[in-house]
Amino acid sequence: MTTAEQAQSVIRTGNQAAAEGARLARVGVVCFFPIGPSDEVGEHLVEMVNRGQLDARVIDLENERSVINAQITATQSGVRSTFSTNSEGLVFAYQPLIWSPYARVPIVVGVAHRSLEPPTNIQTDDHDTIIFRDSHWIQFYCENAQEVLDTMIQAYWIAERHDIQLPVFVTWPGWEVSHAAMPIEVPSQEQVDEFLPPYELLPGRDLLTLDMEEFYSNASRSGGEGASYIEQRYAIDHTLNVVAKQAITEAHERYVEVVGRGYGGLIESYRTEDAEVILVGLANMATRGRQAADAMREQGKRVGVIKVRTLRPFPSEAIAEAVGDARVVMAFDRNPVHTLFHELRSALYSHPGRPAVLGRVVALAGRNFSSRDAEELVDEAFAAIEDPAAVDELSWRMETVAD
Amino acid sequence: MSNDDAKAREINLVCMSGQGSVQTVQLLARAFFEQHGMRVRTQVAPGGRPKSSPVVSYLKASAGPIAGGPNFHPDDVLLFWSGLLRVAANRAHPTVTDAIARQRSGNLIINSRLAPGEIELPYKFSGAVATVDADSITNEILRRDPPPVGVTMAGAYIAVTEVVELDRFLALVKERFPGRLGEQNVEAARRAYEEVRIEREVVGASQEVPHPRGPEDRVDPLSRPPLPVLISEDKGRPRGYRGGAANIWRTKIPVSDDQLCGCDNMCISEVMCPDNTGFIVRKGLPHQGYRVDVDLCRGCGICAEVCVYSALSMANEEELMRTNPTYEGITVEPFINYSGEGGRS
Repeated sequence: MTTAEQAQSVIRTGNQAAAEGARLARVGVVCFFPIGPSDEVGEHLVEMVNRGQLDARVIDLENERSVINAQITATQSGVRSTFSTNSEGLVFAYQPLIWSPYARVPIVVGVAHRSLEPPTNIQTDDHDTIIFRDSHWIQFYCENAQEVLDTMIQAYWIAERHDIQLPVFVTWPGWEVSHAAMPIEVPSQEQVDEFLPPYELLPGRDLLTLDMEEFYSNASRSGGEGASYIEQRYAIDHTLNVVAKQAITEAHERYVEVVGRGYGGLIESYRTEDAEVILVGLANMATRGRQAADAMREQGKRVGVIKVRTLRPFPSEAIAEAVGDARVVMAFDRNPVHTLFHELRSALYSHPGRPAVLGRVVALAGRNFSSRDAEELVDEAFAAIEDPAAVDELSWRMETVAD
Repeated sequence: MSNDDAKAREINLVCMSGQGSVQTVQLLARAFFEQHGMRVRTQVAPGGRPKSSPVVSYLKASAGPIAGGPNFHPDDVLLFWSGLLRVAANRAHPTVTDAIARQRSGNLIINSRLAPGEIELPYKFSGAVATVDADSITNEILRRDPPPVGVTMAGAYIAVTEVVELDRFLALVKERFPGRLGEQNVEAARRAYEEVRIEREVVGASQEVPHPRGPEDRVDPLSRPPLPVLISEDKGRPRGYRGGAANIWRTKIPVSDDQLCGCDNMCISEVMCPDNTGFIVRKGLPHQGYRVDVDLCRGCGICAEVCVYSALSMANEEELMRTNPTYEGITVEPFINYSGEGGRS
């Protein structure tokens, strides 16, 4: 690390980085309800408010459900807000969380992943936000503290754009990123202000100035809001899968322009150009994939890695382009419902050459998943090139080999 | 493992929750970063939900780029509680076993009253072993029981390895914990720096501890997992011997005066026990009495606090074990009888 790099960097954990991101986004409301491992985000933000580094109102309520409702209300009144929770907290707040995309409330919720119970466990896997896959939330999966910070700032830009108005999850693995410190570069407030404009409500959506009598009168004369249900759902689906995809790419490009750092937009590919086997993972599963790819390349085996940054919208086109002529695509799924495997299958079904898609469920609840484990799975992928019938399409990796 | 990662220095801090490895590992990471301009990564593996479970904090520091996640090849291991050696040797906890027993060389710093030569290393290791009585030092200065020994252990670590400058590290401690708490921690670290005892060439046992979740441990996930074995099947061991149950870290244990034990129907201590380890025994004893499962009791003292007849008192376990290594009158066997007969009434 050069001295110049060192001078610009500070040591931060994933949770601290998320708090820094919210501070730089100038949030006006800090919502808080504790649940490990993501409660630290709120703690850091409260500290910032107390030290006068952040001009925001702290709201701590009795449970996650109330907190999400408070966030929705704040956002509907034109105030940017932040909140981080995970696992049981998300499940507890299911109702308002499902409500927010369909009410077009652009809230941003941070999630430091933790496995769902039972059995009791505080370790990490993706399952807690995977269950929101089918609810039109935009979902980002971050690999390290630096990406958490940058994505947090981009999330507000994407969510609040007037042609999007959808809520965003910014997620990072609990403990493995949330409590993992590394040197990160924090952009200046000027840079962030240049990138991220202040939050402005959609015209006519400001509940404080809206003529409610007129609003309800109009609604009832047009047969009620429910009369246009299917049209509204179509608009949301189109917004998520078409408009948001472009917006995420655009946000990324603009962020690179202003701050000078990026992660490839919807996906981040690594050595995929000539690869025969491509590993696909969310967040730090891609880290293990890259380690394995480097090791296998030294043996002359052509392995590439795709890190999927957004599970929703699912970047099917970008993945198909990066997969190219690869023979086998293997998903490292860190959830018991093997979502990534199914998503890849649908995305690559109409891809010319149609590679074999394999799914491997790994590292649930913080189970060790070493780079040697990843290498063994890559060997299975190469075996599938020889004889596809000899290899399980979907299997679970429970044991681990030492590095 | 990529080549860059192989060059990284790996440090594992293994503690019971509340002993302070999470804060310490971040302070050490900052020291490596600020003093040497090294790239650093830390990670934390919590052992489980209940308090008093093991926590492992990992630190990687390298001049070159490093990937996230531990590689489990520690150069240095800091053991905040010496009982964790036995946990690792018995493979009683996978994360702890991985973090400790796969160290083959380097520096091992143990929080213990014993001299380094007196420590028995139950796994293959050759390198430097250092001991420091961090519990007593921290307890004396911070007056907390159980003491948070993190910064104290870091002081000993710096004395052994000299990888970072002590004074600059302690400045970070003061910055992280402003006020009196920081000063007390600094004082404790300085004492540990001076009092640590080092033996440079120690050779441990010859056998390697197999990886706790290796292929040979594969279980059929569709078969019902066996009930956890709370008492050892090994009849050669003394009754009530703490055979490395990983979630126990206590200094005190409840002792029942059976003559005073008087509640006939409902025992409030039994109800209040947060771990369901204490229970009234009414059969097979001359008089009914309160017994605990010594493999699970955390020594919190709630039972003694709430006991209506004041029949329970908390005794220092180390002293008690000198006269009563079998826990006679404290525990009964079988501790938990699933057939519904015997011990638990």
